[in-house]
Amino acid sequence: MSNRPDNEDSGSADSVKKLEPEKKIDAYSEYLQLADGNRPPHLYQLLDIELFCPHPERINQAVRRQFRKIKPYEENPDRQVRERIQDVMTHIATAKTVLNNPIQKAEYDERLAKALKIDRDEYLLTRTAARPPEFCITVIAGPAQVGSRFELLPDKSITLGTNAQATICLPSLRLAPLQATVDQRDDNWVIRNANESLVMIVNDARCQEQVLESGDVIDLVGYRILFSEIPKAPRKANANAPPLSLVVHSGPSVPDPLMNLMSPASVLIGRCDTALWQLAGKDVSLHHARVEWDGAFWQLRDLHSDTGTFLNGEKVTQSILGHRDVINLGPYEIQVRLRK
Amino acid sequence: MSQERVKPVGIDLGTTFSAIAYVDDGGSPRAIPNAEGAYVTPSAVYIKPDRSIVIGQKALDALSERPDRVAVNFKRDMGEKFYSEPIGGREFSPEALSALVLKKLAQDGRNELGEIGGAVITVPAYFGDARRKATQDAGRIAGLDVLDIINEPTAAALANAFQQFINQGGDQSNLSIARIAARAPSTTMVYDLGGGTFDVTVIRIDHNEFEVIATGGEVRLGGIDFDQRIVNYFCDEFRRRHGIDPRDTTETMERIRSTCELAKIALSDSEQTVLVCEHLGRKMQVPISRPRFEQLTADLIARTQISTEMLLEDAMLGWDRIDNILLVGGSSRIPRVARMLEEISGKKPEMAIAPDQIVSHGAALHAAISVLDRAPQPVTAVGERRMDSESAPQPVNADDEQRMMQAIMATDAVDAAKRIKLADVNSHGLGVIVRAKEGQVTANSVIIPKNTPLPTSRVKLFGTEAKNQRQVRLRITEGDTRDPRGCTQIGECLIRQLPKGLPKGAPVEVSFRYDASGRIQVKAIELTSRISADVHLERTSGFEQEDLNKMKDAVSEINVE
Repeated sequence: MSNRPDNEDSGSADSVKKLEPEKKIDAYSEYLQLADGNRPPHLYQLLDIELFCPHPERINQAVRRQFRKIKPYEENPDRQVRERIQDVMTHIATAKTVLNNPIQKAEYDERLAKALKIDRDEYLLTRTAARPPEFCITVIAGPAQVGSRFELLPDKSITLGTNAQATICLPSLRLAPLQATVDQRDDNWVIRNANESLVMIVNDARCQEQVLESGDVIDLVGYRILFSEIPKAPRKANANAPPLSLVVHSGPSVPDPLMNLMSPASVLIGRCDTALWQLAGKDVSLHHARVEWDGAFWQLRDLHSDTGTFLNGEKVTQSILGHRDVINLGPYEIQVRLRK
Repeated sequence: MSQERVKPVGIDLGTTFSAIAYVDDGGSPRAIPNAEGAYVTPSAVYIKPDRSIVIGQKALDALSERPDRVAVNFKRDMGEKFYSEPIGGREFSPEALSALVLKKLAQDGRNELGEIGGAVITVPAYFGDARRKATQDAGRIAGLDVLDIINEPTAAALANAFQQFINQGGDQSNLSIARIAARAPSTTMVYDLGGGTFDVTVIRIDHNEFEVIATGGEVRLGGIDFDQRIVNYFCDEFRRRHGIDPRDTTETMERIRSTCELAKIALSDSEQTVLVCEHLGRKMQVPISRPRFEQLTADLIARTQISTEMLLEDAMLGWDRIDNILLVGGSSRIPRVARMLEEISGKKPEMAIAPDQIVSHGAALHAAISVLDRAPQPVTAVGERRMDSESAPQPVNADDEQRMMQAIMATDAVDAAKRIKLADVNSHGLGVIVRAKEGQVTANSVIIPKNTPLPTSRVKLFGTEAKNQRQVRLRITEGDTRDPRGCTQIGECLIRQLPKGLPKGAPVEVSFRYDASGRIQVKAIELTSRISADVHLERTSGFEQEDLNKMKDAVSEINVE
């Protein structure tokens, strides 16, 4: 392929020449967060997938993911930056054409293996030998779906969102139609925000994407899900906490008037955008109260709120919750339901 | 009232070509030929040394002689301050250059119709706020009454549905726009690869309702990029054989470029063609085959494929939910386009009847419909006739209304057109810049995500940053990333004079309203003091009124040919 160096060079599959930008802008690390290394990166690095990845579906998904990351920046006011970004977008498009074409991919892989001094077949063999354990995702808190478990199948990615077409459909006014995806990278499962503006919290830390480990707890505005190994034997029913439901009985309208919980979930109630259960009235503190399982009981705890938390009419700092209890919090009256 | 029928027009202001159309008395869209007899006019502006201005094919012809005096592809620079290069030593804004093209089209329209009554101008669906404003400004500078701007794929879908009605044996003598879609509801994907931009849109058509589900695309991807690949191929060959790179000098480049463009067009029909060009007295022939062309442009096609797949992912639609694929735009004639779409969808895409004109037809239909919407409603419809017509202004009676509408099209078509409903989505998110809780970095908080059906309104709650904060400044953005660098600021809203002693995190409620005609209204209120501020971001102008008038006057004095 013969293209002008200032425009399309980075696009050709066999280009190992280094680009010499007039200004030092490394669009690969700046916009795709690729680790430092050779520039331009090889196609598998570019797509942030495993070396010689043989799954067309995973390749195409990675193409879209990387494209989504860089595309918002194509309108950069600086013409030079814009051109660098265009180069990277061309590069991603080239990765798609090369890796989707079996003949071109074989040629490319062979060249790359030689350059990296790796035996491709041996490499792939050792990869497939190590079978990853099997995992599942359980919805443990939220307005619906609580208790549902979804098994993760190798090489199949899953989607989470409000759309009925999503693998895990999570109805809520606070969620996007496509909120997050979970897919496999190398031997790991990775959860990713569908777009950068969405909020995702994994084990109390806000992030855009996260390699998951068994036991990780993920908050997707209003829902909490648990990532874990598929239990070998079926668990004894109600070995843990009885499922708890909190229902807004009266008060200003809220996106989700219902919150269901099962252990090990705990729910933060407050006005805050990242609160698992957001109640938006003005007398509600940002972090107002918390409901959690202490191993024996569901506990309600006031988080030093401005207007206090009341249980059955009495101001409380901490109390055990029972079936049909009534919580008052700001302008809201909340009913407690405990299923046996 | 004049009995002459003053007709509104629809204008497709394209990167490489533009077109104008109107809706005739029977309610059918018709293309208007330019003074040279062609139905499309190259979007090229030639400013002669004597400062007279030539638009269209003649301007394009002058490009190889006077590349410094001809402007092309300025739609790509829409939203920027100036066209990429000075023309005849002067800097021009893309709006002014576009206005000249619009002026020429309107002139052709007047030659055909006598007077024209307002215009609808099209924009790529993926255009952001700045580019849309710039397009509307261009219309105003050209002295047009801009009725509305409409997204190109929506216009194409409208015109196509109309065309299908006729093809399926619609009653020619009793045409009506709204009967076009009186069939089973269907979902159409419009793939629009034009000269400079690429749009892909999914539209649900249910009887008279055209509902856009999701839209995507690229603002800098089109036919001229395909041309450039052939140019580079030729120049590389030339350098290899002669040791000189034609790209180093501007002189022959325009001729090479137009040869390559013609070769691209030829390769849509034939398997092979030959590029014949001369540079510095050295003539060279370079054969080029269709597979070679497809290899040179594989990544460009792949980019449209990525956008298409991303769109389906956004809309959470599988190919099984798409009933048909409509190809629009001259560059979708490239055979690889239809093949690629068929490979990934398993469906045979259909080419629009006139892919270069269909967008202007749709714009004309929309123009006719918006004029009807604007017409005043009758006060009463009693049989009594009003006798006195001296004291103005009078409420319009039913007769007048009827006459006003008949001035645009026949009664039958009027009834029908009034029933058509268009519903669009926003192609980019809208939000505000906030300071993230964790640390001091700023972040963009999207309030209306992209592909939200319009009109819409959304509310989000924020807190003040510091104790005793006296004012809150909201920077309003367009974009979908949390990173502010991925967004463009399109406005600002300031709450002033908050009371003393507010705690940190005092609740500030921000609400966004986005109406169907593109007006954005932002309101912010501090909930404890109830002090608020609001701002209207109208898609009216990127210019001050005074500057706009100045440009308008300047353009009105210019004669274009």
